[in-house]
Parts: sequence; C-alpha cells; structure tokens
Amino acid sequence: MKAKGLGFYLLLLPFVLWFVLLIVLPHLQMFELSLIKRDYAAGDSIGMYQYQQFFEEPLYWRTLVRTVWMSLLATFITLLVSFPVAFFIAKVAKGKSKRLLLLSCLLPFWVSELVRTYGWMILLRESGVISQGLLALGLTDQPIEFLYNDVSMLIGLVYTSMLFMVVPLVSTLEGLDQSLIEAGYDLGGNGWNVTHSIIVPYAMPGIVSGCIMVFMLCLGNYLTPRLLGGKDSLWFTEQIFTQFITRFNWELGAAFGGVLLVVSSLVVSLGLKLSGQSFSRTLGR
Amino acid sequence: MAANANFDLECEQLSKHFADFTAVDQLNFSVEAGSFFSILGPSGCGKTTLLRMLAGFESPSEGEIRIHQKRVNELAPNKRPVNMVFQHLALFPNMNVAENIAYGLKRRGIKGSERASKIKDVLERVGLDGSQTKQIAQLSGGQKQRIAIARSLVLEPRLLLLDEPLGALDLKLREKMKVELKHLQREFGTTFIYITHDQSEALVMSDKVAVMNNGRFEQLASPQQLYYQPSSAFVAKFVGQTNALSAVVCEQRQDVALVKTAHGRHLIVATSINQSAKSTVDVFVRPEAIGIAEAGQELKADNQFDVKVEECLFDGASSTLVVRDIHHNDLYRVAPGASFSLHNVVVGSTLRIFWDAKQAMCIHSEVSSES
Amino acid sequence: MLNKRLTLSALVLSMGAMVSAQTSAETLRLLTWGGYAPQEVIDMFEKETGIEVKVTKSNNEDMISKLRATGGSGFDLAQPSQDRITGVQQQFGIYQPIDLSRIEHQQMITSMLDATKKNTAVGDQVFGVPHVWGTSGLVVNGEMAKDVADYTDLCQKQYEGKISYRLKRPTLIGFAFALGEDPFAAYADPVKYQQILNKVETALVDCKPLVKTYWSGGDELMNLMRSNEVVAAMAWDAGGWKLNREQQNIQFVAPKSGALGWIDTFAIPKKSKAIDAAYKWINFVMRPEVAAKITESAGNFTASKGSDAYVNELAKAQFNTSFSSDDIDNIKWYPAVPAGLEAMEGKVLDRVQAAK
Repeated sequence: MKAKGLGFYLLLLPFVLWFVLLIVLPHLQMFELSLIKRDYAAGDSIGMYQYQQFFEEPLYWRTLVRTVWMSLLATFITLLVSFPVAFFIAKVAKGKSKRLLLLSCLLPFWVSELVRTYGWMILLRESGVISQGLLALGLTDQPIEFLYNDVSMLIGLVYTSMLFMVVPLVSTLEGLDQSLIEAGYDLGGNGWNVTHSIIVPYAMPGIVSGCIMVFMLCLGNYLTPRLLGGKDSLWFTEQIFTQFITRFNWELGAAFGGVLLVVSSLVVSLGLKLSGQSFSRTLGR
Repeated sequence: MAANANFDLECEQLSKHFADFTAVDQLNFSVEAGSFFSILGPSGCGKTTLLRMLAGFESPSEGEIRIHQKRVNELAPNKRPVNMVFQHLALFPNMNVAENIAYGLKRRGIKGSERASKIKDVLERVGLDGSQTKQIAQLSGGQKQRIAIARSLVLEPRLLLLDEPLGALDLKLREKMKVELKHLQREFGTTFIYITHDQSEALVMSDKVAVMNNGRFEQLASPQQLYYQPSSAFVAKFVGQTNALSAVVCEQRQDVALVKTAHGRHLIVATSINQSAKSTVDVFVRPEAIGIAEAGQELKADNQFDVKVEECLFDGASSTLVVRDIHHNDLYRVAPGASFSLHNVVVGSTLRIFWDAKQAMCIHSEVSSES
Repeated sequence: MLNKRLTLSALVLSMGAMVSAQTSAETLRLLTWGGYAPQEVIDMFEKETGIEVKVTKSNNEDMISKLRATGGSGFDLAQPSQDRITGVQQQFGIYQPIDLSRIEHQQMITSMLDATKKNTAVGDQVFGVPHVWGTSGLVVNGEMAKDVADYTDLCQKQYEGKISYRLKRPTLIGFAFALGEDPFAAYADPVKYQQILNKVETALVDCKPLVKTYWSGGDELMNLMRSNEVVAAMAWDAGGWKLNREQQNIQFVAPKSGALGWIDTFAIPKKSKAIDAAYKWINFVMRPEVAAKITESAGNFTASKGSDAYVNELAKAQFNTSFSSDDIDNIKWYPAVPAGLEAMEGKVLDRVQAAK
C-alpha cells in the first residue's frame, strides 16, 4: 500500500513541478511586479499605479477591446468555416479519404508560424500571386493591395486556428448517430431545421471547446496581427511585448499581462455560461 | 396492379441495385390500410434497404412506390406521409420528452397550445402522460420505445415504419413490448410496417408477414399460414423450430407420400403437390407436432419408432429433447409440452415418438426445385 | 533584489547559459548583432587563442532584456549601441566598467573612441568602446522617387501607399531634425523635448494615410523595395547598399537634415565569466585586416584605424556615392539617452499607431 502511494506521488511529481515552477510561480511574480511603481527619485512603492495607467490611457484599453473583439470575430469565422469541413470529415468522408482530409488540416502546422504567415504575405501582397493573377486575367488594370488590413489579418488568424476548431468538432460529430439526422428529416425537418435543432446542439461541447481554444490562440497571437495587420493593427500582446522589450517597462507589461488573463477568463466563462456548457464537459472530455 | 383505396402502400416492380449487388429485386406487394405488416428476413436480405426506400432515404433503381394511391418516388423524406421508428430510436438527446414530440409538430407549423394538447394526448395514449419534462437519459428502455413511437404517431402518418426497434431491449422487456406494440397499433389504427429478423416478433404482432430472402419475398401470408403451410424450404426453416430431413420419394398415393430418409427410415408424409418417384425432397416436422410415449408401445399413428434420448433441455413448458432414431440414426428435436411428464427422462432413456402424416410435410429440396 | 527574483522567471533563458558556463572556462559567450562575428573571424580567433566563441544574435532591446533578466550574467561580452548604455546602466546596473588599459588604443580611430568614452560614461567610469558604426537615412528608388531628399519628403501625396518607415525612435528623431528641430539638444529638457515630440506626432499622423506599412524586419523592407511596392523608405545604410548591389536604381541617400549616426560598442556584462577572453576578442577584431572582414559581412564600417585599406572597392564606392564630405560632417550622432525619455517617445509612437 505504501509503495503504491509512493509510485503515485512520483508520477504526479513532474506535473506538480511543471505546474508550480512554470505556471504558478511566474504568474505570482508577474503579479508582484505589476504592483510596483518605479520612481528613481522617491524610491519604489507598492500600489495599483500600473493598473491605473491601463485604465487612464484610452489607447491601452481600446487596444484590449479591439483585440478581444477581433479575436471573437476570428473565432466566429473559424467556426463557420470549420463546421462544414468537420461535418464532412466526420460524417461524409470514409476510411482513407477521411484520414487524408484530417492530415491536410494538419499540414500547415508542419512549418513554423512565421513561414505560414509569410506564405500569406506572398499571396496577398500588391506584387503577390492573387493580385498578379487578377491583373493577368484582365479583371483589374492595376495591382491590388490585399495585405495590411483587418481582413488579411482575420484571414491569417482563421487559417492558423482552423485545426484547433476542426479537431474537437470532428471528435464530437463522429459520435453523432446518422439516424438522428435522418429522424430529423423524417419528422418533417429541412436542412436548416436539422442543422439548427439537432446537429448544432449535439456538437455544442465540441463547438465550445474549439471556440475556447481558438479564442485563446487569437488573443495570444503576436506574429499574425503584426505581419498581416498593417498600420492600424494594434494587438494587445504587441503592447505587452513593447512594454517589456522596447520600453523596459516590465511593471506595466506585467499589469497588462494580468489584465489580459482576467479578461480572457471572463470572456471564456461568459461564453460557457451563454452556451450552457461547463468547462469540464467541454475541455475536460 | 391497379390503385386500390384499401391499400395504404403499394409497391410495383420495386428494385434497388447497388454497385455490385441487388438489395431489393422486383418486389410487388401491397399493404392493407390499418394492418400490421412485417417483413421478416435474415440480415442482409434487403429488408432495411426496402424500408429506407419507403421512408425516402434511398431512391429506388426501378419500380414505383405508391402511398395512398400517390406515387412518392420523387418525394423527399420530410415530405412523405410516412414516419419511421429507428433501430436505436434516434430520440434527440438534447431535448426533453415534450421537445422531442414537439419537433415534428413545429415543422408542421402547429402553434403553442394546440401543440401542448397534442403532446399530452399522444403521451396519454402511450401511457406516459406527465413525463413531458423528463430528459431522454432518465427514461427506461421501454419508455424510450413508447416515446419514439409517440413522436412519430403524433404526426398521424399514413404509414409507420419500424426498423427492428426491439432489437436493443433485453429479452423480458422485448416479450412485453411485443404485446404492447400490437396494442398500440390497434389503438391508433395506423398501418405499421415492421422489419425484423426475429420470427417470434413477426408472428406475434403481424396481420401479414413477408418472409424476405436475397431481395425477394419468399412468401407473403398470415403468421398461421407461414407456420403451417410454408411455401418454401427457406420459410419452413426460418419460421419457427423444425426438424428437417432429407429424403427420397418412394411412392405417392393422393396427398400422402412414402419417403425414405438418408439414413433409411421410411416415413409417411403429407404433400400438396405431386412428387415424382426418386426425386429428392425435404421433410419438415415441427417439434411440438411429435408425440412421445413409452418405448415399444404400439400406437395409432402413421409414423412411430423408438428413440434414445441424447440431450434433455429442461425448461418447464418449453422443454425440448434431442433424440436419435435407434435403428436409423436420424436426429429429432421434440417438444413434449405439458402432456408428457419429464420426471423420469434422463440421457440414455429410450422412448417412442410418433406423428401423423398430415403433421409433416415435404417440399422439393432447394437444389431440385431450382433446376 | 528585484533582479534576483526575475532570475527565476527567466529560468529557461539562463539555464542554457549556466550549463555552457560550466563546460569550459575558455569560452567566450558573445551577445551581438548579425554579421558582427563571421565564422571566418571566429575560426581565426580560436586558432590563435584556443578560446571558443559562442555567438547569440540579438538587437539593442533584446540585449538589454536578456541581461536585465539575468542581472548581467549569461554572457561575457555584449555589443549594445553607445546611446543605450548609460541610461540602462544607471537603472539596472548590468555592465562592469571597461579597463581602458587593456584596450589597444592605437588600433581605434581616436575621435570615435573619445566620443564613445564620453557617451558611455557613468561618473568617471567608462562602460563601452566603439566597434561598428553606421547611419540611418533614406533608401530611395532613383527612378520612381527622385525628389525624396529628406525624411519629410516621404510624406508627399504622389507617393501614397508607396512609402514605408519603422514606428521606432529613429523615425521620431529623423522627423524632428527634418522639421528643423534639434532633439538631441533637448534631451536634457523634458518640456522642450515634449514640444518637439508633439510636433513630430502631428507630422506622423498626417503622413499615416500615405504609408503602405510600418516595416518591422529588415527582410520585410528589402522585399518591399525589391518588388517596387515601396519606392522610398527610412532605412539603414548597409541595407540600402545591399539593395544597390541587386538593383542599380536603388540608393542609400543621406538626408539633407543629416543621417543619424550610431556606434555599436563593446560592453562587458557585470557577471562576465571570461573577462580576459573578452578583452582578447576586442583587441583581435579591431586589427585592420580582421575589421575589414567584419565590414564585408556586416555591411558597415568599423572604428578600426586603417581597415579601409582592406575593404573592397565597391563598398568604398557605395559609401562615397551616399555621403559627400558635407554629409559626413552633417551626421547626427546619437547621444546617450537619458532615463525616462523612452517612455515619452513610447506614448507618441502608441498614439501614432492608434491614429486613424
């Protein structure tokens, strides 16, 4: 009995170490850091000064609002794009083609995020493939710039996030009995009724867990908004990076990090509440 | 086949071909309004494909389906006056009982209070009123069954298609539900088309049973006819327990023939058609048609001989004995019923078995009948 | 105190450094810019001294962050720009003073050494000696944007969607000079400096609709110029010369109001474990023939006396096309940035980015 207990704790140890050393401790330090106000003349003091900075400067909280809003938008678009894809993979494709399709969703992740983003830049830029293609087809008489706006940024975010939506959707939809869909039609429903009242409610845990993951990924993304987003592309992670790296203002950066953590937790719990799902039912499956 | 107002369903030359095989092969049949019609067959016989064509989930390769004298071949499943009870019932897990039943009513555009009263009404009729707000997961197997039927019947379909809905239930519940289904059908008066591979379900509930094999109907008749007058060896073997013996015809007098089994026992059996001498036939005797007596006793019966008990499967009223012909080695299954006490029967006992010619029948064996 | 705590949060970073520190005492861990330590030079150094050189490529902000996170350990020699030393040293104390007696003075251009000594001094201690210097100014496509001669010339309607610059402090400084101000003179006067910044902010916000994108990486700018999507941009000299070797019509132009001159230095982190090796490296790479090799690889000239003789003719020709002798005199060398100034600049940059 004693030996068994020891084995259990030994197995638990790596997780506890990982959790405490790399998650809890840095966060506590960040929080501590965010409470410090630097003053070389008067000496450091403790308080909510950094958080006050965040709320007093419209640029900071507007950037956060914009980041949250754009992440929600990207999550929603990702869901719209991924749902038919996931449905096809889970319910229509069979055997080999199913595996091939899932693999093709994974394919973009074999290269780094930077390469993926540069790929989009090659496609979308003014002298890029799409613009030149339209020019060659005579559909436009001068090159078009598709890059450096919110649309190109959203495209990049959706592309990067799709896999994380498709996989949980496929795994829930695979459990959907084909006869539930048939029953939906048999009882007089059309395609919309069946999707709306049967397939979507059934897939809800998958939808929610996919949305949470994609939302978090978008919120924490740094490269895509920066490279594809253009002149106005303010992203909150960029603000954090700037505070830490270019301004050496670690205290404000830490406060930003704390604010982001709180806001993203709030958005996620609000999403769970609205969809009537629980965290353990969706991500804990 | 002319359209007939008495029929809820008529199928004409109905076929379904898949890439490499024919699932349903030129079926012609009609189902009387208000009847309980079963399609009985082994798995892979095409019965599910037939049902799915009736529901509209598969489209026929050839032929026509008419429901209430109207061709429905081109009608989508949601437009047909037909509903289906699925094998695993397909109750929507995200909705409660009332919402499940309301789903179809909403699609019909039936509004609030009328909908509620219809739901209450149908639940009363299946004996589950008051369970409106229950979740599907809270229901027992039999309750789920009744909700699935209620969900379809509330739409008052011409036809209710049932795809082996009792398959998932345990034996006791299945026995109970058989009776209940029959009562529900009578109560609602809707035409039921029921597919199953379980002959007992088909026999107990149906007005008419079609025995299906390789995409065709072997026989379409009442349960009694199927049991007592099977038209083919397949039906005889598939419907009910039976002893099947291969034999050669020696001679025939009117409706009785003298045959000799492969092991050399001479038997007198009834035959409805002329059997030429030397032709090979299959002889069928139902276990319950065979009488049992003390060994050596002379009785008034067309066939009687002594046997030795090889196995005694005691199960009260449905006990069976497996016995072997002492002289000719043929094996028989015998159901003694209540008339013969099994108190003293052990393996190795000798008994006499007997039956009259008209309780057995002989049918051309498969090979010769097809040549 | 705080630095000690931060050590933990930078655990991953420092762990690699600690391991390498234990392996061999004769290792020089160099934190430098891309191109400043070409493999050829490393091999020569190792052959001569037996000291192994481990290079980590970085930039100003990254160097400061890394050293700040570890309290000045993990590296034996760093190469921050001269204007980024005193302020940082006062705030974080991540460097140790240079022992000037161990530097071979005669190898260095005297004026540059003196300037760096002055700029990197805290009290009477010196924290940096010069290595590579260069300027930033304008990279212009001569066929398509002939009349761009100063920073503010970028903001012309005719170049709408065809210009680019970084949203970083050199842009603020450059625009300030082009607008007729002297920001360096106002470094010590926050009120005056703020006024200049406000003026620059207005100019940058007005110019924003004309900008294609704010470039952030060297490769990004190169691609924009090569594809002619951008015809004029604020950039650094070596990048312009590199483009010129590929496309004759692209040139680095010293702006009328003056190119901005920077000097990257050698500075020794506070907890350097190979101080001897660091001085050996400094003296080694400042030899004229070695310095010329670094010029080849980095694209910029060094503070090494007489290394011009070893540099190839094309590089010299390119330099002379970009800079007349007047232009050289007009170079505005970055003075040391006082602490707190960057926070003021940061807010301006944020507002420009947020402006519609």
